[in-house]
Parts: sequence; structure tokens; C-alpha cells
Amino acid sequence: MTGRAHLPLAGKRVIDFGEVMAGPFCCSLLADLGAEVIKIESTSRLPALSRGGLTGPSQKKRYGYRHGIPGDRPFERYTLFHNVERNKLGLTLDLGTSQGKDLFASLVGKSHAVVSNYSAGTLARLGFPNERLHELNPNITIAFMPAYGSTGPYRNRLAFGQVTDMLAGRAWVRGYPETAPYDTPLQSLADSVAGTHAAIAVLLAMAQADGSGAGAVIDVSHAEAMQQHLAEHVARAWLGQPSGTRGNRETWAAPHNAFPTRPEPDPNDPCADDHWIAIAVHTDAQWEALAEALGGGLRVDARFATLIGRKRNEEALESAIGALTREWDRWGLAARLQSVGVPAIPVITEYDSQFDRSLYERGVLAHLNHPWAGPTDYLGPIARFTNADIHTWRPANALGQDNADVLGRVLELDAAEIAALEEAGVIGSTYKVGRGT
Amino acid sequence: MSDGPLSGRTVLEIDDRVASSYAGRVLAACGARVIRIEHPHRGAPTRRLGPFLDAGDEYEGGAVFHFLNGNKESITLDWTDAYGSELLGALARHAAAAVDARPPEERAPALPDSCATVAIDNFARGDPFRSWLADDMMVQLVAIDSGQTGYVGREPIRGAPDDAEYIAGAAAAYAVIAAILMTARGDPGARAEVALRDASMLMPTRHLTQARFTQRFQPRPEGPRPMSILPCLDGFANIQTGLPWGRIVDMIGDESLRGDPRFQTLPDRLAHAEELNALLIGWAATVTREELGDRAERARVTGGALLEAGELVTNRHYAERGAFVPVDDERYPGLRLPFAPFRISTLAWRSPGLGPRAGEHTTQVLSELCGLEAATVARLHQAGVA
Repeated sequence: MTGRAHLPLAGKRVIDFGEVMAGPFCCSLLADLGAEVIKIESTSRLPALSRGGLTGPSQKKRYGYRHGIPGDRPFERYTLFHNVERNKLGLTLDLGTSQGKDLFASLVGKSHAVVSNYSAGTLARLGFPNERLHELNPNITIAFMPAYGSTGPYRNRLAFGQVTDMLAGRAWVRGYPETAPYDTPLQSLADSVAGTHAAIAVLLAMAQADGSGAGAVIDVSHAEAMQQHLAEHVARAWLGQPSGTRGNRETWAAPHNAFPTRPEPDPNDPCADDHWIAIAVHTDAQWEALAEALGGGLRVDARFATLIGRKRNEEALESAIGALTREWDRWGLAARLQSVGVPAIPVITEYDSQFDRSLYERGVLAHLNHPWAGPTDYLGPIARFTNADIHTWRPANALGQDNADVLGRVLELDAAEIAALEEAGVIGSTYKVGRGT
Repeated sequence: MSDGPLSGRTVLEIDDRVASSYAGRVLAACGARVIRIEHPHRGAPTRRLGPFLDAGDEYEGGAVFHFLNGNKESITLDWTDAYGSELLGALARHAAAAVDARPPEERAPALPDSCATVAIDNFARGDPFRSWLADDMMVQLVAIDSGQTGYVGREPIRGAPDDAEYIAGAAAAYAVIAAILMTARGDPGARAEVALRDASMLMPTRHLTQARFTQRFQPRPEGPRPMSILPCLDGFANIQTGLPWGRIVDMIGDESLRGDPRFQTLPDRLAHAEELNALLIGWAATVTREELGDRAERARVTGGALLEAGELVTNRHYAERGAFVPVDDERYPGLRLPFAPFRISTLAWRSPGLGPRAGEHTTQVLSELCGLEAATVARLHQAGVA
């Protein structure tokens, strides 16, 4: 089946009223399935995390911009916006004005869902509490996704993925075992996990509303979505077992870690001296094959003959293996170990991934031309449908790129009315706030 | 609350791994009838995941198994046997969708068109690693993010154990619901694939596109960033120091720092990272994690406690929200496991019971959906097919 008219959410309209990550990602997942997603942005407030800190032209090299150059419209060339926005229409609306509020209300009346990842109560403060939204459209699904949920003592806490990772408990179960938690590397997976689950919830609620005519209110706590990964650790704590990080190690496998390999002679590779191979030995047969392939006396070392022995002597085991893997190229060694039935794989970096053309062939990446950022790689859908045309087809929207289309086609305004809105600053395609170089 | 779009739908979970079981957990909790189909000889990997709650549980499953598989039925069926495969086809004719975690070579013959299928693999078709042996840690270390995580000279470090499995499981649940909606629109037989590696790379908090975009590829850092994890009176906490300096001063409550030229902008703070680190560590040592979190909230600073796994259940916020629910079994008083990843006002998340015993529903399901008599099922059991 080809064409987006056949997609599961064809005919559904979703308002993306959010920024940075979790809400926009949820809406990208809905757009992938054929929903018409309208991203609302304001020209009165620059979302610096998403669109960078500059509004005025700059040709000076700066981190985070396309090829390091902010350019004439820097807010169209900032990393994070392109990383999470795809397949959407862009509408600017100043919700601080009564005209902006009226247009938003009209759009709510013609949509099936509104998704907001702002702090709890943001839409209400703008004059759109849930009751008002459902008065405007009884059928609309309203999804809120503040980091810790819409209720409870932390409901108003500001969040950032790396902090959520800690307050959700995930940071406790990862990182280097010998030095955690002081130096656990920061990570922020919770936004992504919350975005995926919010998309599931919106899919279910919109389908339910089709039958019942009653739109739901959805509450997605990033922390609670993230805690789905932690059942094991919560249960261990209840049993009084150690519940902290075990690094890359596993209870029933040894060796189970990453090991250093030979430097690689690529002058452009920033990790040329920092390459690794991951090895996971789950059975004695795999151990024997690994020991045979690596040599160095591993096979005859009685300490390592059984799993129990390898676990008891894990430091010595890893040290002995690391000394041997250093002599190997990670690709050659991984291929050799796989050929004798040992799970082993070269650890892949951002730099390596550039050379994998298959990422495009299987739709993980789409190479699309953005009007201001130029040819750019965008992330693809999280599931690959072989008989439906679900793919990344549109780059991140430019600011206000679809104002005329959305206001004309969806809200049925004529050209003069749209021009008047622009004149009044309710809509626009540049920021009213000046943040220059 | 009313019935949702999954009510009355049957979803098969064929073979077993964390990802497929997690997809089934979400679908079952939202109203689907989920039938696990376990191989009678190989057993189910999620039943072997610790921790175990009682002696003997290593045969029927521990805490993670129950978390993943409450609200489900279980049958045993050897789909590699000709008659077993026929029975699987018959079951699939009653199902809206199947989550298929079998090895790719065991997926023929295809399930009937009326049953949408979502296959789960470590590596997608077309991935150079497609046929490679791997587990969750290895997948994480080739999913770009973890390969870059950690510090030069130390091993790249994965995220939480089974992160890639859970990410793929959520992606599979999303795909199943999309497929069911397609069927409802008159386009049955959707076929989808979810790969652990690709689903992980496609999380936008990962790094697949960021360095490509800026064309600035960087080495891993030498060590932890300054100002990351602070020791408090009762544990550890984190604050974000990239915010306006005035807010951080409000949080600390030391007016003498407000005009301090060393810390006015982020570049200033990075240039004086050690001094700022010492200042923050000194202050954090005088407050509890909760005090730090409350003061951060009042000052509009992003920050909060690093909670240990054992603290989650009793934390005042999660307790008030009911984020952890008791396991419905008198043998485990006090054990609470994570509740729902989302709340929908019109659709109740079904509270989990314990997961089913292996094959607990074989006779009932094969009788109900395939028309077999109990004696026939018993003979299949003797023959090792069920």
C-alpha cells in the first residue's frame, strides 16, 4: 500500500504544543503514522534549547549549528530542532494575544489531539484549562507530559533529561560499578521513552474517542515511563539484594564487557585511539571458542575454566582478555569470534556510523533538503512497515513555514486576513525578540 | 472509564524475550487478550530473569517475569513441528495481531493476512549485523549512544540493563496498535519489524544525527563533567548549572555571590569550573536531597535527588501518584513494582496479577480457538508438540 492517505492516522490532526524533546518526539511518531501534525511556535519567545540562542545573522563558528555556522537564520540551523522534528507543519501563533488565542481555539475545534510537554498547568494559564478545551471540542484527546506527571509534590519541578534520569532511579543502575554514582556519565533517555509511550497513549485515546465521542486527558510522567525499565532493580531492593549498577557485567555471563582494541589509522577519527569490542560469553562452549581464538594461555588457565571461576576472578579475566584484544583490529576480531559462535561486536561511534550506507536503505535515516540547513539527515520511524508507506518524508519545519496553508486550508482565513495577522505580529516567520551575535 | 480499542482483540506473543513481553504488557494492560506462546522444549528467557522471589521460581519466573506478564495467558506449542505450525496458523486466524520474537528462520509459513504481525529482532533486515550473535549490552554498544558513553581509557558503558529491549518493546506496542488501526480502516495484514538496535538509535536523545548535523565529531571525555553529581547530607543530587546565575544564587541563598564575576555566564562558570564545583559541593553538603530539590524548584533551577532503586517506592512523590503498585499475591507482602507508563482518563490500566505458569492455558486456548478436545491436547503434550 503506498500513499499517506492509507496510513493509520490519515485524517487525524494533532496540535504539537511543546518544545525540546518529549512532546515533539511523541508528535513525530504520530506524524509518521499519517496524522497531520501542526507544530505551534511563538515568535515572541525563543526556545533556546531547541532553536539555539541566536535570532540574528551570524557567520561566526558556533557549536550546535549546521556545519558550525549559524548563518542568516540561525534558528533554522540548530541541532536539536532537526533531531526531533519531522513530518510536521509549522504554524506560528502568539498566544499572548487575543487573536492568537482565538485562532488556537479554532484549531482545537478542528483537531483530534493536543500534546503539550510544558510544565503542568501551562495551557490552563494561557486560558485553556481542560474544561475549556473539551468545551471547544468534546472529542479532543489532551496529552500532558510534564517530567514528573501532572499531580504529586514534584508536579511543578523543572526538568531536564539528565535530572529526570536520576530522580527516576535509572542513574542508580548504570555507570562504572567501582566509582558510581560520583562519576556516572550523564544520560537523558527519559524524554525519548516518555515520547514513545505518549504516542501509544494518544493512539489509544484517539481511537477510543472515535467510538465514544469523548476525548480523554492523558498524563505521561517521564519518570514513570522510564521506571518501566527498572522492575528488576526495585524487586532486588525489596529482597535486600544489591540494586546498584553492575556496569557492563552480568550475573550469569563472563566475560561480559567491552575490551580495548588496536588504534585505527584514520586521521579524522576522533576516537582512533579509543576503540573497543564488546564480548558476551554466556556458555562454556563460547568461552572455549573465545579462549581458543584469543590464545595467550586463556584455555589452560584453571581460574577461568568454569563460569563460577570466571565470575570469581572477573578482574583478572577482563585484564587478561583486554591485554589480548589490544593486539587486534576490532572489526577483524569481532568477525573472527562470530565465526566460531562467540557473541562479539565492534563498539560503534558517531564517527563510524557515517560510513554505514545501510542506515538510509532501511529508513533509519532520511536525507532531505531543508530550506535553510541544506541537505540534512533526519531520523526515521521506530518501526519499519513493509506494506505501508511510513517513512520520513519532510524535514523539520521552518519557523512559520506553513502559516498560509494552515490558516487558509484548515481555519479558512483569506489572504487579507492572514496578511493582517502578520501585520499585527500574531504570526510571523522571524523572531520578534532580538538575540544577536 | 470504558472499553478501549484493544478490548475484544487478541494479540499473540510468539516466543519470548523482554521486548516482546513488554509490548504484550502494555497491550494487555490496555485491554487486549494477550496469549503467550512458549516453546515447550526451549523454555522462555524472561522466566529465567532474576531476582527470584521464592525457591523454585527459576522454573516459573521471578519478579521481572511477573512484571512483564501479568494479565496474560500462556500456552506451549512447538511451532517448528508441522502440526504445531498448523495450530499456530489457526490461532492467528482469531488474532488481530502477533508480536513475533521467533528467530527469523522459524517464521515461515507466514501468519494469515488477517493477523497483523510485528517481528522483533536484535538487528533489522539490511543491517550489516543482521545475522550476528548479540545480547542487550552488545546492542546498546552498537546503538551509537552507549559507544560514546563513558570516559577515554575506560570501557564504553551501557545504560540500564535491558534498555534496548524495553525501547524495542514500546516501539512494538506502538506498531501493533498502528496495525490494528489499519485493519479497522480496511487495510488488514500490516507487516512491521522492530529492531532493538534501530529503535535505540532512533530515540532522539541518542546521538545518531547530532554530530552529522554539526559535522563535529568528538572524542569521549577524559572524565566526568564538573558540576554533575553533588554529595548531599543523605545521598547524591544533580542540578543544571547552565541556567541564569541569579536563579542558582536564589537556590543557594548566598547574596554575596550574586555579582560574582566568575560565574555570571556559562562560559564564565566553565572557566572557573573547579571553584564553582567546590562552592556547590560545599553548599550541597549542608542540605538533604529533598531540601535541594525543593529549593531548586522555588528558584526555577532544574535539579533533584539521585534516587536509589530501594527509595523509589517510598519516595513521597511516587507514593502519592501510585507509581508503584503491590504485587497481587500474599506470598510477597510489600513488594511493589512499577505501575503504568501513562494514565488515560477514559481507559483504565489493568492492574497486574502474577504472570501465568508455562502452558497454564494450553488446553483451554486450544479448545476454545482451535476446537481441540482435552484428550487431543494431552496427546500433543505427550508428543512434545504442546
